[in-house]
Amino acid sequence: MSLSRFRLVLLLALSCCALGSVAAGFAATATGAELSDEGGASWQLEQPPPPPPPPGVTGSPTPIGLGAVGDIEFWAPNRGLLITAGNSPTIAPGLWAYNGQRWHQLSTVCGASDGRIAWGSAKDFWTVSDGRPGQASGPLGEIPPSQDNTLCHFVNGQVVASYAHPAFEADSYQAMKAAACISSTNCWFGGDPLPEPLPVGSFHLHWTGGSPIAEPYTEAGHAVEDMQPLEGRLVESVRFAEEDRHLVPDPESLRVFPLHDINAGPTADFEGEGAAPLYEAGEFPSALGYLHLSTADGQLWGAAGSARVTPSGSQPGQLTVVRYSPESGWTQLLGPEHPAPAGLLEGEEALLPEGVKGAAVTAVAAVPGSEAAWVGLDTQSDAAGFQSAQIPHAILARVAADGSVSDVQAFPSPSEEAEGVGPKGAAAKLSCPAPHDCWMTTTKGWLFHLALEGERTLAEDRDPAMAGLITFRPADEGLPQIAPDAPPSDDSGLLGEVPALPGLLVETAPPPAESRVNVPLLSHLRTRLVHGTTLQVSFHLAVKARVRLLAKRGTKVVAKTGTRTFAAGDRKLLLRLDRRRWPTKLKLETHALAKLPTVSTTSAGVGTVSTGFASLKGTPLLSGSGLLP
Amino acid sequence: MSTPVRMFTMAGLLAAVLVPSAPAWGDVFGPIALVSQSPAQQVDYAHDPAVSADGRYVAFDGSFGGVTGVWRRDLRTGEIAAVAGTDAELPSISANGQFISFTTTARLSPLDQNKGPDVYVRNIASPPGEEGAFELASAVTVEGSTKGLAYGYASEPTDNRRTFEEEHYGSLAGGRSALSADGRTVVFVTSAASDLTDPQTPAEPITPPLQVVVRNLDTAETRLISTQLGSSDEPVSTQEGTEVYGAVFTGQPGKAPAFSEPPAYGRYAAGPPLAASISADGSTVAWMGVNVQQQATLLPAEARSPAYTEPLWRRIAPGSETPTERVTGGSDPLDPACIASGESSIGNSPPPSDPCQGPFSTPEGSLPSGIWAGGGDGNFVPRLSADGYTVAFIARAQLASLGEGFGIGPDGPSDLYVVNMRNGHTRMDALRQLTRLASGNETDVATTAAILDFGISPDGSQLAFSTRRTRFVLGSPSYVTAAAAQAGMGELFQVDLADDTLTRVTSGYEGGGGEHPHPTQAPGTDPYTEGDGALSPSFSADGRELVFASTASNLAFGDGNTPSAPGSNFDGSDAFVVQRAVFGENVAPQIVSPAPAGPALTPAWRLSATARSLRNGEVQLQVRAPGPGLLRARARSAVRVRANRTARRARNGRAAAAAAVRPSERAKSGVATRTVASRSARARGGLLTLTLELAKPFRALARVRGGLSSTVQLSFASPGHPSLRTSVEVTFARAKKRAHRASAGARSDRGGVAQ
Repeated sequence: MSLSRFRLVLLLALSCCALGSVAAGFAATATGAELSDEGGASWQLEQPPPPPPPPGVTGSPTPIGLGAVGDIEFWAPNRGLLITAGNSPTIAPGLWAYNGQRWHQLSTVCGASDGRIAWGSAKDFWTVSDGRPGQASGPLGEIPPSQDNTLCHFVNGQVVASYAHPAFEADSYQAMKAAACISSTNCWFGGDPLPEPLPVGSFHLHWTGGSPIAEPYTEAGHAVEDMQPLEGRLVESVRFAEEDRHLVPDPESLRVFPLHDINAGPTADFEGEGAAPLYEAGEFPSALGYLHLSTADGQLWGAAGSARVTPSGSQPGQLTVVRYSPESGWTQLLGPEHPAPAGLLEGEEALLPEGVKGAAVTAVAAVPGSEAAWVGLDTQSDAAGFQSAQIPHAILARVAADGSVSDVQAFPSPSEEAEGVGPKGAAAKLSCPAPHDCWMTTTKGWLFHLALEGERTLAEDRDPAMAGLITFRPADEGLPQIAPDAPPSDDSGLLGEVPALPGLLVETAPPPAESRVNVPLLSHLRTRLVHGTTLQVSFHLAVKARVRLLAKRGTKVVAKTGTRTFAAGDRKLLLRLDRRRWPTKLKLETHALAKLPTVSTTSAGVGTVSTGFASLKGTPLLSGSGLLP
Repeated sequence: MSTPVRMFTMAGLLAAVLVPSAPAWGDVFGPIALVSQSPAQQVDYAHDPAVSADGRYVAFDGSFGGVTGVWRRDLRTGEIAAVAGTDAELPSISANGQFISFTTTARLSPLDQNKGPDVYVRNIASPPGEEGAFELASAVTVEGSTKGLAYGYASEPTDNRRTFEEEHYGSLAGGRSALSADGRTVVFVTSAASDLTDPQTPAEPITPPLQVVVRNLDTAETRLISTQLGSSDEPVSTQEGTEVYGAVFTGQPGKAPAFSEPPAYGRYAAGPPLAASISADGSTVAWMGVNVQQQATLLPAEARSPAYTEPLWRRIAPGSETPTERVTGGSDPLDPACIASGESSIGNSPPPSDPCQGPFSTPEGSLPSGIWAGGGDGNFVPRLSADGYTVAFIARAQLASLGEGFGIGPDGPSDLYVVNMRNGHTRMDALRQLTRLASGNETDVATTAAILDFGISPDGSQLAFSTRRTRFVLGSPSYVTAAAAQAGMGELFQVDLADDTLTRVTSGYEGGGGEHPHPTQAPGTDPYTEGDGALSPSFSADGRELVFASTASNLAFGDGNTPSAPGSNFDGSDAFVVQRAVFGENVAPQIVSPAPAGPALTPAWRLSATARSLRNGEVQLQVRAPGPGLLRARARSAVRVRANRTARRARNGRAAAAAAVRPSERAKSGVATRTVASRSARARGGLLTLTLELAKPFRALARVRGGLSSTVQLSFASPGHPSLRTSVEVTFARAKKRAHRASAGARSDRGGVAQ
């Protein structure tokens, strides 16, 4: 009986006798099989409920996918982060945090289509995030790229800096797919190959405390796809593609470096790492996907699957898992020399038509304390983004350091499926913060948790920096600030179409940024005539200043006061006028003798900073703010 | 018209204006709720929802937990129950939700002996596997023995195409409207030749395809509905080359559509379902017909091609059975005026004044012609009210009364109509247009987007339809929702025929229109396609629950199954329910003021007077007295008097003399008010003329330049009535003789004071 037919019969049977349990919810009741090689731990779907709804909107307790999760990283078993593109409009693009007890929404800003997270310290982390709308189109009307090409720096529960660069320029930021920190003041971000006409290279940003500096890898032009810290340095992996540019006309003559070492230091120090045994004879590097990387206990694991399309003339790539340890160096655990055994899926081969050997690798996570790693597998078509008629299952394989594959599991587990849990997408990201404690996200944004029974929750992380909801992202450094061209909100009260949801295509607008402006030197300007010909000008000075009043008839000064020095406060000047030479214009010249105080634009009453003009009844206009020498 | 009559008429008009009129606001809908989810998880996608008449159950097709099929959600408990799996689709649901019809290729009954699609009714009260859980509706009963329909195909058994035909052609039932309220009568359409009319010889099915069939599951009677006019059992069919026309329009001329899994809603209109509708009471069937000349009455010499399309209607309830009738169309041979005219045909483009012209302009031209001219997007299956007498349909043909309309021609974008099928109406009178194109620019989605799907409430008082159009120009029904600034995805609209209003139903939970994620588009690029948005509206019996499907992700909080990029079947469509707020009879108290009192028949008891100065120094008073009585007039003026004498003479009652002041005494003079003239007269009512002459001591003052100003005080006394007083300002002025003007003037100057 085929799987789908079996499940149909199962569901039909359930409809008559187990509907109660369906209605009661199953998201966290069924568990997978206990795994002996994981100390009896088991995988289980642990999906958080949606965030609270907006005011006045009915909420929903039914869990939904969090959207495309670009990365999941842990600082500690009870302090984890994931970055998502969101599931609009219920789930905003942003970050979710795990506190040992539950996942909760941490940030509604700095989400990303395929973001990355790099921990700098316990309260300091970076994200590769999507750009914000507002950049100008390209010279040919191209839509400016915005996916995964900006950085957010989170410190102590807020975004302290956001970095972006104008598009369509020589030094524009490229999409970044890798991020890691050697220390809290030394972080690297790697991404796409540099586009023409720039020289051959891979885009990198390097942050050492100031602004990120572009430091490309210039030995080859391959996309950087993953980056992990290892023993005080970073190791990054690159994807080989046939369309990559090369420094020399004959790329075959080049030595292939699928991994690069980035050594700690204030400047770029790349070193090709070509020791990993990956390819068989006749296999082009582009026949194998890039190495997904993971580190634990000083070991570096790398896993790659076959590329979706085998280059012409090349042997096809195959599931390859390598491991580096200081003691034994690089070892191929699965690959050309150690092919993956067949029949691992135990009757569910339909889930991976290409078999384990030909599957695509989506993630790897080294398990601390176990000399093993979990590897996420997917069909080639699904991994390439093609929509199929069925939602794929998530498939994980556990590979030990001796090359044995001890488990290949499909999720949801059979017990979960028996309770009606449908497929939640292919395995997308993996992370194992502790022994027998791993998390997997699916392409649909669902979370599965490997844990020992009784240890599914941990001590709650109550750090305020990881508990609140972050909704403000500062202006991007590197981008010119321009006034929005969107109309202001309609507060006219007239009937009309309610504006569309802002959260569908753009980030939720942050609260207006605060800035400080100078208090006007001159204010409360008033004039009046005394006895018909004497002009009295009263005003308020913000600071001590020199002031002079000029009366002009045309361009000719017909009367003036001497330059007076006043302290701050309410002051007045008297000027006798001649009826025969009645002025047509008055000018109040001022010169501040102290620094003007500033005030926040968010303060009440701060609507203008100019002194403007006051009219003298009967005749001339009075202009202020002229400068005294 | 006399004044009193006019006043009463005005009062009546005012009262009429104040009578309460029909409310001018549209219907109000509550928040939209997600139907296609259980408490534990949301469906992967859901299409074609149908709500039970009691509003409790919603059946839909889609994928739930990774399993495709038809499902039923209990809105009260939240449970989702499996109805049928695999490729089951297009459910209709009985009034109490117990029975659900659908189409599937799965053999769910031993009576089903073919590989093709068949129509089933699921009794959800019986678990799968129990007898009666699945009843095969596309079946016939012969001599008490029921068998599934056998189908025949054009290709040879050895032909490679044969397998495809066997798996994709059979019987099909439409969504929402294929099942009677009791769940025991099903209407379906055959897409292959069948043994319906000759079940004894299933090896050679001779009943042509595309027939309308009704099966009553209780009586086990299967009945061919689409019979030729005048025949009780002759099916409708025409073959033109390789094209076969049955009774039902398929969306593409001469071809039956292959059964397939429910398409993603973005591509919904690419294959409108082959279906017919049955009324909730099981009395009436309607379908979009072709071969109309075989099925219904046309003009005697009216020539229509087999591909000519019109909605057709037939009552099948015992006692009220009718032959197949035309719901609307390009001619109306039963119009008394047409009958009287004796016309036997109409031209290809008859004038609207032609007595035989039907409501629509339906020239023969490109195929298909008629009401669904040109084919195209939309679910064109007519829908019926519960009693079957109200038919809703969409038409691409233009109304004949609009002439060339916007110049779009006979196959423009579709509009929605409703027809009263009770006797006594011409087709023209029975028709009501509910939407109309707002421009002639067929690329302008906001004004000319098609009506893609629609539904009608069981009582026929409401209709719902889906479209991307945002401009609705008809005043009746009146569009009462703020128009969207620009066309987005398809939205759901509701027409309340009682209130004569058109209301937009769908909106995001935070305002705005429906939306779902889509890739970033270049400015001006339309990210949506026809069929993207709301579809499949379905009303409960009381019209309070309106269920529909939509690919929008922002209608209800928690809708999380929408893919970030559209593709394949994962369109993220869901079933939703929205409740229509029904307000009780709460008419605000209306107060009509009494009509103003009629005009008094007796004149008012009032004294009025006017005055004019005469050249001889007198003043003539014209006094209108209200009745008989004594009228007194007394003129008083301010005159100069000597002070000492004034007081004394005043005491002696010689006031007149007091005014005389000698020049020598001027220094001691003052000003006092004196009666300078008086007169009494007996009035009889009406106008009375009185002449006042200054008393002798003051007579000279009339010669003073400007004369003597005076106030005439009038009093009128009549027994039995209140005394009346009034006053009028006058001037006693005597004209001077021309010859003595100079000397007179000198005297005047001197004689400012009376002598």
